[in-house]
Amino acid sequence: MRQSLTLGRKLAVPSLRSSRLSLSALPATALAGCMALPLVFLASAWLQFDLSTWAHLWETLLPDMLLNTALLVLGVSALTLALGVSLGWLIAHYTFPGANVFKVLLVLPLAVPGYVLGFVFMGLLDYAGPIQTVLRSWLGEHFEVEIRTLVGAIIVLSLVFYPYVYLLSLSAFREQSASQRDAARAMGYSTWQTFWRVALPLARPSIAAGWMLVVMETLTDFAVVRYYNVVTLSEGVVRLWVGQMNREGGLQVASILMTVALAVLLIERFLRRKARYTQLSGQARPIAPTPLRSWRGIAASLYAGLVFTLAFGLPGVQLLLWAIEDVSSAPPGTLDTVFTQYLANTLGFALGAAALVLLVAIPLAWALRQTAQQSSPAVRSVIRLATLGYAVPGAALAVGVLFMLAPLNEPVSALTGGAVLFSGSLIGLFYGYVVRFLAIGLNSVEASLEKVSPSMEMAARSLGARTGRVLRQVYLPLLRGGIASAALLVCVDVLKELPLTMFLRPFGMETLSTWAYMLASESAWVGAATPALAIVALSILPAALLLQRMESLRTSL
Amino acid sequence: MTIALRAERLSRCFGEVVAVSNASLEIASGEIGVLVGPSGCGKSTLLRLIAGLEPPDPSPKSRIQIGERVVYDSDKGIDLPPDQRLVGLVFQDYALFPHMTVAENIAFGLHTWSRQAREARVREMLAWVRLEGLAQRYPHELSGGQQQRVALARALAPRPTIVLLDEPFSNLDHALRVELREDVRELLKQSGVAALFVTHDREEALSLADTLLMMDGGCILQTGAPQQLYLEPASIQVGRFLGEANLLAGVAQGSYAVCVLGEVPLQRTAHGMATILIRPEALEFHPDANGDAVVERRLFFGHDQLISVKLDGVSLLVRASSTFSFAPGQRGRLRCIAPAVAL
Repeated sequence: MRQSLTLGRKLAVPSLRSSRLSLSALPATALAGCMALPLVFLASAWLQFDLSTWAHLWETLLPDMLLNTALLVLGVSALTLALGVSLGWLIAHYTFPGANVFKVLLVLPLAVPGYVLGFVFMGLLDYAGPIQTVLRSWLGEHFEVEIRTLVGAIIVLSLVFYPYVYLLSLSAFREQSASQRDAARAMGYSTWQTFWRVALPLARPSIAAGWMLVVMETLTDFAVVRYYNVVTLSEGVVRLWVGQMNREGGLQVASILMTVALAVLLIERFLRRKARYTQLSGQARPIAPTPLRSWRGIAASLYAGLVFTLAFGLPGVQLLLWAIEDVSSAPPGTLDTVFTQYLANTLGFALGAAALVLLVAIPLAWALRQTAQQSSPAVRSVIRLATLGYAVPGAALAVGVLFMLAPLNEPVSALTGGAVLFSGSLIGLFYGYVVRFLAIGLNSVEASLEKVSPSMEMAARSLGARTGRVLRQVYLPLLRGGIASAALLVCVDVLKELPLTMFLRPFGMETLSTWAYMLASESAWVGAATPALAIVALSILPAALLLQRMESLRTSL
Repeated sequence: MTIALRAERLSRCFGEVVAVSNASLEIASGEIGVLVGPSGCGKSTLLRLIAGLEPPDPSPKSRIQIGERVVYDSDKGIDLPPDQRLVGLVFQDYALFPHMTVAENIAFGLHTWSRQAREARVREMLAWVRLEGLAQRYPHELSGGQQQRVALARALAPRPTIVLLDEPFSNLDHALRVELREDVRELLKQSGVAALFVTHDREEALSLADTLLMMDGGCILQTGAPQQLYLEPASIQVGRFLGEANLLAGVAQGSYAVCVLGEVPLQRTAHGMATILIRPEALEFHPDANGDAVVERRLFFGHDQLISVKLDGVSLLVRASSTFSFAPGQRGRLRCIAPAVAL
């Protein structure tokens, strides 16, 4: 019994010279505060309550926006949960033909942004598309299916976002130990009952986290809903701010949108509360997968294959065909220049944003670690507030940034003789990127900081190493991997990103994503395919990396 | 006798919580000191104050001297950072650098040495902990016991005046722990370096220490040889923490005391009402059908056994050789065969 007491003892308090740190946390707090500013400004839009603007909004678009947003979120949630959890369960616990390949393939749709999958489906299924044309030739001239509907948008977005739920539920299911399942089976539960009563509740926190990502991405999307003629809050912000130049209305809708997103975040936190189930004993016996035989195995393969084909295979092939058509039909040289230019812009934005995110994330992660044991919740909550940018839909965040920088425009441009302009400049764009993607960088850096235990730093110190040497020889080599993967994840998110880029980019500076979107929104599928294909190709590697990281995390546990 | 470590009047509060309160201690060179006490008694904090990982509260006349050097003095404003205190540290989780080989880990503290001297010292340390063949391995390729020895070699390589070890055995399973404990004690004695251990395991503390320092509630309650603390605890807290103890109400009358057992001899003279502490092994149970003591329960350990015996409504623990068989309900007489302590 003494032994178990010993093993259960927690590690010593890791504050290193805590009294010297309260001062050093100050710059970090200020930095974090800067990152939270656009959200604060956007929230302050509620204070400029203007009855006439509201009345107008309420009489025109607002009820539709709210209703459609709610229906869209509900529909996408239901479909992604069904797809993600069922696929996660199949891959985690069964073997069937191709299961190992599907495990990886099913993540790949993460590389296809919604605004790409959306237009591919339209090109294929719309009235003028090949499928309806063939159907009309069989069924007569009057046959017509309208795919530009809410249901269409729900299906497209679900096919894009289900991998979040799939990945997180897969890892949750695989972490569960065989003993838990065996205990349930011994108490007379069938496989099906064990799933509902044991496996699913245990995986709930992970599934909820995946669902949260789905909802945030769904709220951010304005492109797919725009293709499919569904007016949502995000679409409304774009329509009002960009389309109608209605700054007042756009601002109000953006603040509603942010409020909705943060409310969803709070709901998820509340539902999860203390529910962080982890394996209590150190060694969980993994569950050996059950082979599915005969028709069951074939059915499982067909199901996984169908989802993959719809979400990645089919659109991938179609994009390739269009891109080939585009390249071969364009006058020689023209496409090259444009493509090279936009690709360079995209990569420049992505790399620049990744570097800036790390520049902010590293000191913040450091401050979080140093204050972990202190009774200074203020520092920590400001830093946590700064990471909320990830939960705020891109269009809302963009409006927040513009709203915040607008008053600075005139004085700054006057001061610098018109050389520097905030909104519509690279400053505004990169600021938006950092606010939005800080959370990704911070999580990665924080996680890799945990590899350096406080006692490791103390050991180095006691062996005569000063701060410089501790950083160079202990922290840097151990953090390199985490920093690199943070940079990669941010890069990919930026190159797929659409709303922020569209709102904040300097006039005329197109990226692959804005290029693809603008051609697609004019139904120029063929032209949109080349940049879309480039985006997908560039995003595949990190999607695979994400899976591998999860795998290595699992084996290291 | 030269001093390896002298700490005077150290205190440390975390907000309202007093972790260490006015603690003073002294370790001679070559000596092994063990700070022992229940979880949360402040022993790890005291160790961290000495290592310079935590600043003591600025109270007058608090001082830390390591070897000949004063590394902390509140009055003179001396406060050397951990990297200048020349103490070795061994942690519960060993804190080996995962990205360095065994040899690189051991060489980490030798960065100011010449290349030749460094390589020679690493070889010497590897031989000392008997890990010669494993110099190029990485920490994750080693067993727990091997990692422990690397941590020890790394801490001792720069020839510190004293090495501080914070619960160094608690991540190991029981059998390995006992084996390693003897091993580490032997290695430390060979090297002649002074050591200060922190542990909450009394068996570990008693078997490792030259000098045992019992801590509770942030205070050092008693210092002395393990045997002395065990047999002559200065307080009930110390007596109870270091082993099973029968605590009986009694009256001390000089060299003996009167309690439920009748007259028992005392280790040191005392007078008046007292709590009489008698270790279970100081009692003997003689089976006797007419005896006034009754066996209640027995706990059989193998090397010996503990029986609980009821006498005049008081339960007493008696340690007996494992060759005897006792059954609950059995009658007998109790005799005290070793001196007790009046507290």
